[in-house]
Amino acid sequence: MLIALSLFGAGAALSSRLYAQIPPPFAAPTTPAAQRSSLKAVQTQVKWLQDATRTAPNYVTGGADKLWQQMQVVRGAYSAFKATLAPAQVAHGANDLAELDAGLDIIEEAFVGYQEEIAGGRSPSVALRGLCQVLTQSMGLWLRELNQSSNRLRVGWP
Amino acid sequence: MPLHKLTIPLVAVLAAALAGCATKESTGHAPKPANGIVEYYQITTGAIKAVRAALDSLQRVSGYTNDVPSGVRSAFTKEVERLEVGSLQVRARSQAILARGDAYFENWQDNLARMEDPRVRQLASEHRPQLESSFGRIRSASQRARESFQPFLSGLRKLRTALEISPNAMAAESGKELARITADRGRPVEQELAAIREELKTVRAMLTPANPASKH
Repeated sequence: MLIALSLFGAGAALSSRLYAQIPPPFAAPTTPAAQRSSLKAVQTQVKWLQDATRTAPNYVTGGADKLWQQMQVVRGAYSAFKATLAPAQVAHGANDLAELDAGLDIIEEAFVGYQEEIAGGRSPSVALRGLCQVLTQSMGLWLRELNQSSNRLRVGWP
Repeated sequence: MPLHKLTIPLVAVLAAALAGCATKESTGHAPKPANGIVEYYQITTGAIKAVRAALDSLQRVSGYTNDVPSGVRSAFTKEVERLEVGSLQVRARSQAILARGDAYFENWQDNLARMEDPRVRQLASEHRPQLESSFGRIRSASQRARESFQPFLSGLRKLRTALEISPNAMAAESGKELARITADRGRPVEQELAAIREELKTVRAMLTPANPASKH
């Protein structure tokens, strides 16, 4: 993670990480409407990240930075979503949530791999295209897991 | 008959049986319990295939002592990407199992205890010690697979870069050595994933009632 922080602009990355990790100053509502809304927000942010993977290779520079930033927005939206879950949902879905957490960590490792490849001499444009491929497919799988878990946990049910 | 032709219908039958089992609380708003065995079996099988395909592609690349043809190189590049994506779910599950440890097993048991089919609940209760032992073996294999996977993927990426920079990278001793070391790192990943899958078969057998439940 340190590598990623140093390579993707410490300021932007750090602020994104803080956004993702600092809990809101007050407890988020756990109403069905709040759950549906926060789930929708995660789905939207994942879609935006996938859209970004299609446009990022067109940027002369900074394509990976934009993807990294959007990845942090997904993390932030997911943290906010988890904060809307009721205690019973958190308890029953603890394994699912741990897997979703781990999934995001693993997907994020692709950024570290991308930087290592460039440091190892891989063409930045080729490396970025590869990163985009892996990200869009991985986020698709992750979103499917999120939707399945949300269904099991009755997220947003009245 | 090849094993995969036997296992796919088995998985399908069990999936259908479990899907047919609504939950004890399914008419209410409580979270649905998840057995998770069928899904875990499927994602492990998918990851084994991805690792096997990457190893096969690596072996094809290693067979060249001069220029590696562009088709072989691009196929190798694709397999490395497929491995990254195709292993995501099993890596995430392994990481969750390792991070949560006993709590993961307890949560899984809690879910089993809430399955609608009383026979599954009974079997889960009766076989708890065996299930715990199986879980312990899955956890150990997950740990070993995880330790081997990262160096394996890293080696594949390095070789991919080397081949992109120079199609005759395999002519150099360093290229051959990288390919050999990477293959050595990949085989344990495949073996540990296979061990997890075998354990899941055992678990599945323990939790499968003698006669499939009729649909509720």
